[in-house]
Amino acid sequence: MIRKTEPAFIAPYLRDASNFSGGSAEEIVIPETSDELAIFLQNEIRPVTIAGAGTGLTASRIPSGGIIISLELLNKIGEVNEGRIQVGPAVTLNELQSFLIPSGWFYPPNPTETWASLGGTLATNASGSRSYKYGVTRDFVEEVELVLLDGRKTVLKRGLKITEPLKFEDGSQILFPDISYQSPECKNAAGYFVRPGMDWLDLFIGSDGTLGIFTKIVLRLLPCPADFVSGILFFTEERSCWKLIPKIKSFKGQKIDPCSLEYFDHNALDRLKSKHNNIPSHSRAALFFEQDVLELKNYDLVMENWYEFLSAENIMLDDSWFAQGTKDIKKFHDFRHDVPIIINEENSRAGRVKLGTDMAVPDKFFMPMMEFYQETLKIYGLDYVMFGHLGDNHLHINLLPEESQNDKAKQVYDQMVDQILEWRGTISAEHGIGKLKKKYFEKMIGADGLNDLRKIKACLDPDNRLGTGNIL
Amino acid sequence: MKIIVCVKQVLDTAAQIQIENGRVVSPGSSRIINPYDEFAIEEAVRIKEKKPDTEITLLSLGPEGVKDSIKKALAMGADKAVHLMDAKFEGLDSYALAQVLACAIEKIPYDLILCGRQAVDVDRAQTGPALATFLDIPFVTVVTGIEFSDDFQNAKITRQVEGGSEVRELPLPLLLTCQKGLNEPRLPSLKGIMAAKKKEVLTLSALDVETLDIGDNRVIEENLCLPPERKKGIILQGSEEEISGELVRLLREEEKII
Repeated sequence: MIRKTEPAFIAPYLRDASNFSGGSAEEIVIPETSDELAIFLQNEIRPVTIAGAGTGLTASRIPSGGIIISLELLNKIGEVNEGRIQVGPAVTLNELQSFLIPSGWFYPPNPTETWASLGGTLATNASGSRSYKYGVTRDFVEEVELVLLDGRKTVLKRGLKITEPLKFEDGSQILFPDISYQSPECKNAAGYFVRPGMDWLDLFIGSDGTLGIFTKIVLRLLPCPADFVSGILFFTEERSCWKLIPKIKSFKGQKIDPCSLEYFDHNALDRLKSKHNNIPSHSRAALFFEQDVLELKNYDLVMENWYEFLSAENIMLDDSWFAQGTKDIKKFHDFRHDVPIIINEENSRAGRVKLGTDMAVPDKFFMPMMEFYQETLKIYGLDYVMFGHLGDNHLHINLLPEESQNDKAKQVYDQMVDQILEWRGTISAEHGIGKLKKKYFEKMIGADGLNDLRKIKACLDPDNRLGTGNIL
Repeated sequence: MKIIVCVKQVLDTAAQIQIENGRVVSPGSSRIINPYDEFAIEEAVRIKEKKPDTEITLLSLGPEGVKDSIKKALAMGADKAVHLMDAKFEGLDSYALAQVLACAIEKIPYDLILCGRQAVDVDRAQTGPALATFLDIPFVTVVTGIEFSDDFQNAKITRQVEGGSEVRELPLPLLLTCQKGLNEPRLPSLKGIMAAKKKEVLTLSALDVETLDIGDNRVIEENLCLPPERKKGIILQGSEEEISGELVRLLREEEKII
């Protein structure tokens, strides 16, 4: 186990992708095994914050005092065995994906940030563009080895319900508290996941590093699709793109059945033109779609189905792009990934802190949500970029105010939160709450909801020492 | 105008390669059109957009898998393709390959031949110029701009030279090897992909193209190895004083440079 107290060694762990500053820690501890970690924790009384790869957007890994435990040495990738793979929490998405290429297996969750550690993606229940069809990280976790802050250890398998006690290696057990809170029905990463009769495993996934520490993870894989039918569609009107979404969704499970539906508004396209000069000049919106094709023999049929469907819609079909081969598909994913990169560069040039939404609503409010966003942004007259997971009614709106417009930007954000909550949506569908969105989270679930979550926290970390300051 | 575009299929440039038994292997990686050849295809399609009676024929040599790349090039807008496939072609050097291509081209009418500037797998940049020599037509390499006279009988060609560019005017027929910067290759449209399925792909063997005795100009790979792994970098963190102190210590005590 490595233990360091030098400020120079600790400094890099006091940052993540949120630009949040002001964190501090007394010591950094880097265990080499889960047993070593468990023994260490049994004798530790200081607050503990868990560090993954530092790609988070909500400052969850930035401590205010206490110690940091970095899991970076728990980085082993196991072999694929009957569609399961065991990984250490420090293995990155990139590493897992490269490892799986020759195996014929496929890990569907694809958060945009591929340098994220898998432990981090469990902590936030990360999703990404393919969640529209495949689901989120939670849907692909089969088992974890878990260490509580008091050093108790257990292997948590899928199927162990919260109606049963959670048992530990030392023979002790914990019962799930009696609470009435339930998580919203849309895609959500805000607060603990709570549903009646759910698995214990699902409580820990998405708990933002506040309930327990993952030291091993067993993921479920799917056979790698033979290919993807994939394209970027361009539209002369943003509304034409929105209108296509309910139509595509109505085919779900049938011949048109995409796994990703990603949106780019005209402001996103204008910025992308600097890197992709083939974007049709009169396009005002774009939609990236991809549909997995399990067997190669079906590829042409899927392609024909899309051709038939799209030919009758209001799309710039001759100017739209279609992938032929993995190189093009990668190009499309890069196109999507370039949006936040360009915005981040623009923000740092302007010395601006990122102000981005991560809200989602249930399906039936999709069109009202789009109309509301457009109307609200027009009234306030701020520069902005809108992009993201249209299939999940989950958009990222990055507000790009001039310095004098900062208050206005906060007003826009608040107004959006109020409206989204009225529709029983979520203020964070994939980034998590961390330390930055707590004010809005309280608004979202109310004092009773927060009390219920505190009861869960008290069962597992009675002294409130793990991930202090996150969520609650 | 009749254009021939020579297309080579190569291993994806993003592939992670290993060497096993003296051969490059890369399980699970895909094969792509040589990126420089994509500039050639795109340029041909742009010429056709300006001069619609243009006919674009692709010429490609290699195993069955090459058909994937041919299909993609057809989807980008080429009209038809000739695929040269024969075990006898395996391992030929650039000189012999150019001879085979020249034999095949004898049966295809052309005004312009476009190639990539080089293939990104072996990086020899020989086949294009050799082909022009066998066909006894002028060639210009590393082309970044093409402008035709109104009657399409002459072309003003810009080619990259060190620190600048060179402009030449030549009469057609001619062969050009295309360089990055000439254009931005398009992604095929859905219509293009659907139409490509119906386009003609003619597969010819060594016998069909009546290659004369191409001899045994083969490349024998004696040994292949990966470049040595680079030493991992170190990122120093902390205040300016801490960093500079640590840097001096590393250079003095560990690297022994100062």
